[in-house]
Amino acid sequence: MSGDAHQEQSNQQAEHGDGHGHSPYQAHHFDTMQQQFEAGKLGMWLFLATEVLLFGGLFCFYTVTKSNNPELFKWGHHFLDKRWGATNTMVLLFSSLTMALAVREAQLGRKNRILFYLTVTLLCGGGFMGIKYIEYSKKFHEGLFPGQHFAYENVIDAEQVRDQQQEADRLALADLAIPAATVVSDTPKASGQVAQPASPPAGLSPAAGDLEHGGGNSAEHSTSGDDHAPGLAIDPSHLPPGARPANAHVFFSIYFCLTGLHGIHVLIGMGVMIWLMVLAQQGRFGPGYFTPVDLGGLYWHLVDLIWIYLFPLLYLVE
Amino acid sequence: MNEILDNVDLLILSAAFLSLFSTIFVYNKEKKQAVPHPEFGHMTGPTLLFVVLTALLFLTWLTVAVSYVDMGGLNVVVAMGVATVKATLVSLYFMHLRWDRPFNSIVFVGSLLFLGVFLGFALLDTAEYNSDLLDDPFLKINTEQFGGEQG
Repeated sequence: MSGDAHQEQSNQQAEHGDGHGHSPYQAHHFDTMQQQFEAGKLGMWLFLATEVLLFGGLFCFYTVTKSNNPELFKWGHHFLDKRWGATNTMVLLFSSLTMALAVREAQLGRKNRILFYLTVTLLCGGGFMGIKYIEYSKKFHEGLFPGQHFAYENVIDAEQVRDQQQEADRLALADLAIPAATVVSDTPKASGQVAQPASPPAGLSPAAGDLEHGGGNSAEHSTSGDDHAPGLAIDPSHLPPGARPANAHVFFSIYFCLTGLHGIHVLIGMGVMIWLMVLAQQGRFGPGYFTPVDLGGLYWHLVDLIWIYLFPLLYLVE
Repeated sequence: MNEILDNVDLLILSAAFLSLFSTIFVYNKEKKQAVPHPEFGHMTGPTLLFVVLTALLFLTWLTVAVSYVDMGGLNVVVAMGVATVKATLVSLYFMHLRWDRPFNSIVFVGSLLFLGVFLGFALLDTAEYNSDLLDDPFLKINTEQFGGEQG
């Protein structure tokens, strides 16, 4: 940068009345605030590149495991609740908007609005972690821990109860099929009635009552399912359909590593928000100095960017 | 709560439309005001930011809705394609890359390219390993005793 540019910049900054001839935030090894801003931004992008590669190791874990054991993901993703995952995606996308608006307000130097948008971003981060807490506590309750702490016995217990129920259903159906043989051979609609009678006919074995549970597909059945086997950590009706693959615990290692590292980043991002709010409260930001908000925003957007990939990879893709 | 969550695709869709209406509202408000010029750096208008959020929400709805349809191998392609479009929108507009010095984009895209090299080379020979390599002694789990179908 030429001396003229420096002079011009100094004249602009002189309005702030700090008496130094340049912005108080300008370090002496930079010619202008613009140069300082762009150097800081390049440094931030280099840091973000290392962040991409940090997550890259875990994405590699995911990709290699998935390419060798696709059935692991077909089975395991049934334990993840895509409804919560999608809600979290919306929360994070909205927080990205408020962060971008906070950067804009910092460029305009409107203190109250910076604080407002930073607060909304912080709250969204808190909401994200709250939903993560709901998801994680369900996994912990079911004993679905990563690595050697994975409670295979919980899964096996639930599988045994499910198999018993299915066996009982099959026997009950066989009992029913004798008087209802003509109906079964009729229309598909009629056979549906056989599979799910409105009320079990009198005189049937007690196992026939299980028909309702066997056909159960909603939450009301899951509560009654607990009556059968008290003390089950995993509700049998929540088990994935199909056989359990070997090394089932590896899926949860991947799930907790990826979402855990991402969650840590959200927490750090929330810390950055609080730091930025303190700086904004001191009235530091304005048209000539908004670098911290801009760089904090870049970090927050990267966290959002990683979730954009994590959500479909873990919750949606089979 | 459960009823709302069960229709999460409708929830996303309504959020997207809400964002669309906000965009129109913000646009009408913004066009009455003079466009401010910063001393340096690029200042993104709120209308553009809301347009980007609207697009992101619609794409999220798309990817969730498509996940309910079984298309075999295409599901992964669609999910990753939509995610990449979303990531591009975020980096170009929210992260200002569109107006930044190109060198920042080179750094970012470069990191993604190296990630691709990393994944590609890791995938080259994984099929050559013993399939029970996951029975790592460090894990101290003998998964054989728990049964399950060998892949």
